[in-house]
Amino acid sequence: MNDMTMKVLNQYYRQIIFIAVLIGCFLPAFIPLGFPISATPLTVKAYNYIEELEPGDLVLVSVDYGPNAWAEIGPGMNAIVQHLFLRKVNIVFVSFVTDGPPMTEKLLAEIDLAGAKYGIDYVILGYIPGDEVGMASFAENPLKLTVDYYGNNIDQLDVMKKVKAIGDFKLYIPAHITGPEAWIRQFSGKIQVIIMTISPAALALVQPWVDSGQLYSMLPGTKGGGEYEVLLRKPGIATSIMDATSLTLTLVMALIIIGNIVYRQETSRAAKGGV
Amino acid sequence: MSWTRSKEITSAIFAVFFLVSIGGYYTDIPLIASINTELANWVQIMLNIALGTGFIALFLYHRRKITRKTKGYPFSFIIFAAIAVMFVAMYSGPEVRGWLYGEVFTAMTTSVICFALFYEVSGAYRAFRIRNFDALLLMVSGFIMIINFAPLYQSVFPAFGAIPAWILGVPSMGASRGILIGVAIGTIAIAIRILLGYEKAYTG
Amino acid sequence: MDILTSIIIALLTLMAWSMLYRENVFYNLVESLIIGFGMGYLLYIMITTLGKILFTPLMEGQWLLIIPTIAGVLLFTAFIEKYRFLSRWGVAAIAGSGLGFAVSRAIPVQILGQAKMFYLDFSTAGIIDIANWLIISITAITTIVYFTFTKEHKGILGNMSKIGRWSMMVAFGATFGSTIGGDLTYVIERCIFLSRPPQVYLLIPAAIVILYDAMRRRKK
Repeated sequence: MNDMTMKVLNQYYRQIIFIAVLIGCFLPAFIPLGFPISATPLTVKAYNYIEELEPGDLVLVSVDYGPNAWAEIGPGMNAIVQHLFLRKVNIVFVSFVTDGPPMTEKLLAEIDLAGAKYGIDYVILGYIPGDEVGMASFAENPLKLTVDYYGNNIDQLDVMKKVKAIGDFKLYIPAHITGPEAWIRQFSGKIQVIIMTISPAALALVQPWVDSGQLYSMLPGTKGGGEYEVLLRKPGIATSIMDATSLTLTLVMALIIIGNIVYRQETSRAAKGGV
Repeated sequence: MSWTRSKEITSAIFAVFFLVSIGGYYTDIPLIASINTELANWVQIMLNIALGTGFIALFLYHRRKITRKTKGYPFSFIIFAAIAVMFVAMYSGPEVRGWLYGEVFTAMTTSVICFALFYEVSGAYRAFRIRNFDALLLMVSGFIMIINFAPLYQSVFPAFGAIPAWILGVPSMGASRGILIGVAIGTIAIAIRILLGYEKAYTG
Repeated sequence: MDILTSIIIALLTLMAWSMLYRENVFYNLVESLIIGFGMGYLLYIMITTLGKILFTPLMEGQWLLIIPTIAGVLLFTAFIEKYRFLSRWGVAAIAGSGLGFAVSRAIPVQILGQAKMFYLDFSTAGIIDIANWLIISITAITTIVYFTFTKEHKGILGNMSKIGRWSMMVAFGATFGSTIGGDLTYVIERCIFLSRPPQVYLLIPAAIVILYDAMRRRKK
């Protein structure tokens, strides 16, 4: 690499990187590349479990992410909750973070409810304060909140009449951007199966829970969402996003390699006493 | 009223809440279970009220900015206006709520979060250099996981699906297990230290 | 999404991204809107939730809830130097309860639940299973050793902690790679949105504005 190139890279590396990443993201958006996505075993495991649920089974979904995590987790949640509605199960939506309820409404606005009716097929209980204390409280008594998010009495909602204890839920799907420790501490052993939608950044930390069986399966963000959409045969936003990642990630790897080449050259020149 | 300042009171409050929640889990005594449920309810109420402290802090900061006409103070008016707009919108019905929060606010927040990637990549370009064996392990593992998120490589070489799965499922998982167990032990240690009065962060 | 909403959102996105070029009034506007909207929503959820868990039960005769109400209000004394000590009561209660719920379940779920995975049934395990189990056990135990600070990391302990550090480098590298893969979705999602009409037509004026400003600043 000659001196001029090195000088330009050192002085304008940030601007070059920003432009390169933007081009890398825009190009596949304009020209979809169409790489096939294959589902990983964990996604298939989650899909198969939901596929075997019977109409009327109770499922608990906690939307525990805000708008700052929507692009990462939202597509995955859209896919899995879509599957739940297609299976005609009864869903109770709850949130242990403040931003959960409007994100639940956004999720429901973006999918096909397959004729489901509020109160009869699904209900949004809303925000339960207290973080882990709130989770423990809800796990002990899911009927503690006497009204739903919209102020309706829960004993007038058909879905909630089926809920007597936390163990009545056949499946729990929490979605959160960080590690699952608090959710697993409070719900593991109380609900049969927990399938978590997580941010890919937490992927490494979630593996021990999956290995021990305390987490049945997990969907890592949009990647998991793309795989789930493939299994559902309903390509959506997750598939479009995954399609575009290959080019940009290749670019990222190339930039890191170039950074190392520049570093090596700088080090060797410094060792030789050069500029 | 000097007793209100005493550290013993706060330590006692901590101890009562801590021991009751432990007792509620490990014992079958109905009295402790019902006290535990009531205390948990109290904590939920306190935590919910505590959400207002963020608003007060923001209000005080921007009020000071406006009164002192510090640089950028006109934006403080915009913040207060936006608070009012969102507050009213949330009571205005599902369509307005869905539009303002679900579409506009979510899109704005996503746009700002995008900076994370740009700065991560530029940081990685500068800092992700192989200076020693540790850095080499970090980079090789990082590259393999990056490939895991690119469908292109897995469609060309199926092994690029199996290798990241092994990394995640074996060496990385072992370390994560160690970290999880360590964090749990650390949490217990912190709790005991607070109970014994060695940690003053929560009790003063 | 209707055309007006798309244009508004596209404008706000481009205004936010103008920060990549340099800090400017458009980015500050978006930042202020985000802070304001977020806080407005937080106020709403605080009030509605208090209605459900506090005001309604109080009206129904659960007068004991006055105690946490007072403790919660006392949390606001943190802003007044003279009375800050009063906020410690609420903080101590919250911390005690939170830690109690976490610690009580950490032992069976987090410690024992993970520790039991150190067991392997050798009679049914194959060579690969045993090799993987060995690697997992070594990396897990050496990682725990790395975090023990009661003895200096020398000799066998030093070597074990070194292996633990290497294991964590693999885990952190995996986390870093996954983080990049995850954070990428934010940018791509916005790019996909901006690539669709009518908002795609805003890209050219945006590029022109930035180029004009760059040339103007260069001349200066």
